Amino acid sequence: MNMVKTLDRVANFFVNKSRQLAVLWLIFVVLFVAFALRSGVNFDSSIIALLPQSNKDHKVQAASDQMAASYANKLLLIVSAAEDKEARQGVRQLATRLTELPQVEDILWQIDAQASDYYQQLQPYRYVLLTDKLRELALTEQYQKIAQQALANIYSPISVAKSSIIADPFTLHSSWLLEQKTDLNVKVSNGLLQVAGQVQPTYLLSVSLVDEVYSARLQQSVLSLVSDEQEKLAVLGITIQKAGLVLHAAAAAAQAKSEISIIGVGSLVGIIALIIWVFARLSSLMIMLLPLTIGVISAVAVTVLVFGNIHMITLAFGAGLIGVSIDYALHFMCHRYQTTARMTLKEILPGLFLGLLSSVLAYSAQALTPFPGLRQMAVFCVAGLIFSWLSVLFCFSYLSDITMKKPQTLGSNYVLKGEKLFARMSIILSRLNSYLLLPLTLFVLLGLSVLSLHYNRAVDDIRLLQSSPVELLHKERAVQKMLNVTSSSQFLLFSANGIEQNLQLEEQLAKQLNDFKKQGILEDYQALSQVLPSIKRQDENAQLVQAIYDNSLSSFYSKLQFDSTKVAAAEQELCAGISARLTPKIWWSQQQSERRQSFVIKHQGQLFTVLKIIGPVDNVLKQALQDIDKNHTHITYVNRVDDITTLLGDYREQMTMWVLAAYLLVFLILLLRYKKRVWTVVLPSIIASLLTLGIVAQIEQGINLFHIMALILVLGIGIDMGIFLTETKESASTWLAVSLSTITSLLAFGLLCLSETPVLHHFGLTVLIGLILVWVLSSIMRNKET
Amino acid sequence: MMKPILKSIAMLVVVLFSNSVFAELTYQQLQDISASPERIEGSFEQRKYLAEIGVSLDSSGVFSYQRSEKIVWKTLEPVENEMQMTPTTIINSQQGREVARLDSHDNPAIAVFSDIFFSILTAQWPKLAEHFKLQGKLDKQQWSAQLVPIDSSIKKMISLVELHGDKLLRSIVLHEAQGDKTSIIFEYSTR
Repeated sequence: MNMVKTLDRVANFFVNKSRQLAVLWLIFVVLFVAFALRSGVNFDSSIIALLPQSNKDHKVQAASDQMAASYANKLLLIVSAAEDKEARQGVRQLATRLTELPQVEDILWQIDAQASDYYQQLQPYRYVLLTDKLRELALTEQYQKIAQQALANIYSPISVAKSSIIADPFTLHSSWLLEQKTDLNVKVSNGLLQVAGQVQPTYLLSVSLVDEVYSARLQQSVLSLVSDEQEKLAVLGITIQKAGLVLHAAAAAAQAKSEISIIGVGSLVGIIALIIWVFARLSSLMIMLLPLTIGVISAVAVTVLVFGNIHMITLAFGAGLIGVSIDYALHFMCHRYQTTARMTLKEILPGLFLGLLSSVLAYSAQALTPFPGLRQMAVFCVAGLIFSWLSVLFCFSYLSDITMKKPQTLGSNYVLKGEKLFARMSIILSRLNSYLLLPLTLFVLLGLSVLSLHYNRAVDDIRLLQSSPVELLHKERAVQKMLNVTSSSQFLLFSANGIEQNLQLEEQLAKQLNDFKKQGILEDYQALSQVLPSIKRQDENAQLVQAIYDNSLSSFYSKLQFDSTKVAAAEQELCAGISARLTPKIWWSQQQSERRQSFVIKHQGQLFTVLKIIGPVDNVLKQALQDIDKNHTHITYVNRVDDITTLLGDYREQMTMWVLAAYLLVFLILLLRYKKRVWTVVLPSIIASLLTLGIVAQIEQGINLFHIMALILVLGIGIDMGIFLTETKESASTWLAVSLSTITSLLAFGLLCLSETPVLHHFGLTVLIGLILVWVLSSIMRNKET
Repeated sequence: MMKPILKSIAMLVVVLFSNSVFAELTYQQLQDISASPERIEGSFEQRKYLAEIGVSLDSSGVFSYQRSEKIVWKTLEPVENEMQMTPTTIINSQQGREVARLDSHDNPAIAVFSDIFFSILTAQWPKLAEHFKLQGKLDKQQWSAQLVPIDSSIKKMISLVELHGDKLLRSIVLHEAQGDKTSIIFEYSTR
């Protein structure tokens, strides 16, 4: 009885102060939105942003992030033409145009004389940087062979290994440099980077973009310039191929944009048509669009306030919010047509409140996941729902009072169009309840669902998150193949204490990896120690070089008929230079280090190194790498793809627990209010959820995380439905409101299942099936007594 | 094998040519004159001048080439070494055993160097036209050419290439950027 009084007081407050409240609320919303969006909306379309942080190991995460970043801001352009001259002209033209853009940080397309100079910086360290071949010869004391080779080199007409005969008679420096392979399959041809092994003259431009690959402005300016040039050059028979994350980002953004418009506009048009049909009044339509508009705009504002930006997928998913947030307005208006605002509020406020509570609870579960993207969606939806709910509460008494003079006469049972229709439909469906067959059928269906779930394997593949068009992926792969690069996500992380220890560990492991290469298990690898040997290795090398000089120099020089002064001169050079060491600090300051700087991971004041696996990783190699991981405390095998799969699986399981917990929590809250009747409120949702999962498992070849998450929505909407029906004793107007909101939600989420973005598709399909089932089951299982 | 005196005369000729004034000569003219047989064999005399210590190193040997396939360059004196060049690799062998292999795939510098050397020996003038400015003179069937690299990255290795020939290339002087100089005289055994 106390509760009734409180309810009276609340309803009176909102009705008596309706005008002031409406005005204050609108002012608040406008100010809030203006504040939150004062610096504009920043759209994000990164797929990576959707990926959760690895929960295992922070250093692994740091390494993965850095590896991804070193690739993320690159745009590779491949220019080719039938004639060399044309291809070169195309490269020049493209480079000149691209340099003008502020979003372009740097373009690597020509090698000038200075560029090759930086290798000269290594010259002082020639005595400690030895090639594997020379080390091998020196270690096995084949000094004669070393002298022979030095002789052959000096008499060769083209001495590619060019050195001073005194300062470096054994061409240590140039041999070392010659062994430094380029990471790309390109050669310098007349100052440009020519892609080797192509039928047509083909050149590379590697464009480094500023760090905002996901900014729409960057995508727009860079890609439109490139496609602009692409068209112009195509006339001259010059083709351009492209690869890079920015292309995927742009494609994802374009896709999300078109989907947002289709889903948003589609559901909006459907809802407007429905409202006009049912309420037959423009003023009602305008009123009902108000909480919806406020909901969506405020949701954007809150999201931007919390996250700093808004993800395209959030927006696309949020478009589905339209269908849910109209619920509160529908319930109010459907009742308002029969009674006063005061009475309406009194009748629907408890249901409205419980409905909001259960939805917010359901979405909050989503906010607890470690997926940044999903968290954003949850915040977006919770904010949107609360704002539209409050809009109904604050504004509808006043707005409905000024647009509708009196409640309609109570003469007819059905005031609004559609009321009769939906009531009829539910009565017909409820008749099914009288048949014994129904429990049996449901039982069988549930059994089938459980079976279907039991025999279905879960799908936790990373492809769940990938939405790039297949054509784009193919083109990207073609370019990668041409350049002989793999965007490999597999690497070994060395985490011993300090960089020297890590380099030593790499060198120890190199023998094993080289064996793998010889056996054909491993295609290749790239490591820091290949360009920066450990100090320990450099010390060893110095000793070996000393031995080479002691044993080979005089015999080599005597073959050239050099006198002893030359031997003395060479030995003096050695003496002066042999103690120089290429320390990490010196290396880092040199220009040539740029190629491998990304191999050093700085994490919490420690320095780790990365060894990249090149080429495909089959099960044999995977096992071998896992063994290495197991046998070395300081080596971690990182396989990003597998990690994400494991992670998705973990979260799928966790999420299932969350859904169960959410159901239980909602069940307990409702139990307080509805006592025994709680089953009529929750049972349709529970059965619908199970059946939905069973069906989805069959259609989608497996259940994934996103199906489970969508069940939260089904729960939210389904329980709402149960609450309203029970609260209003299943009045015709409630049936109308419930049916309308189901249809609007179906419009919103049903359209999502057409999405090309896998995440949205899974969501949409699950909600579509779930909601239809909830509505049908609620109708069937309604209380016959009413 | 040439006799030492002949060799010296030949060297002198090379030097004289390198000092004479050059008139207009086009790649097209060279293309018209040059024979480019499928296969050719011969011997060579090489003098390499090391500017750093002012010493000249003489060597000699035999060579053969198959057009656009490979060049075999066999130094016999004073040290035995065989170099096989294909457009993509340079392999050095001693006593029939491979001692060094360089793949132009892996290394841009080698790619450029072997490309140029290959083009010179096999008279691929259009290819050389991509890399060098040409000056020279033509006297009946005899020609002398000076090739100056266009590209700065090549200029860092080669400052000037002097060529002399008729239907076939008779001599090369390769001036390297650091002052070293390699002079090679060819004798063909076929034709």
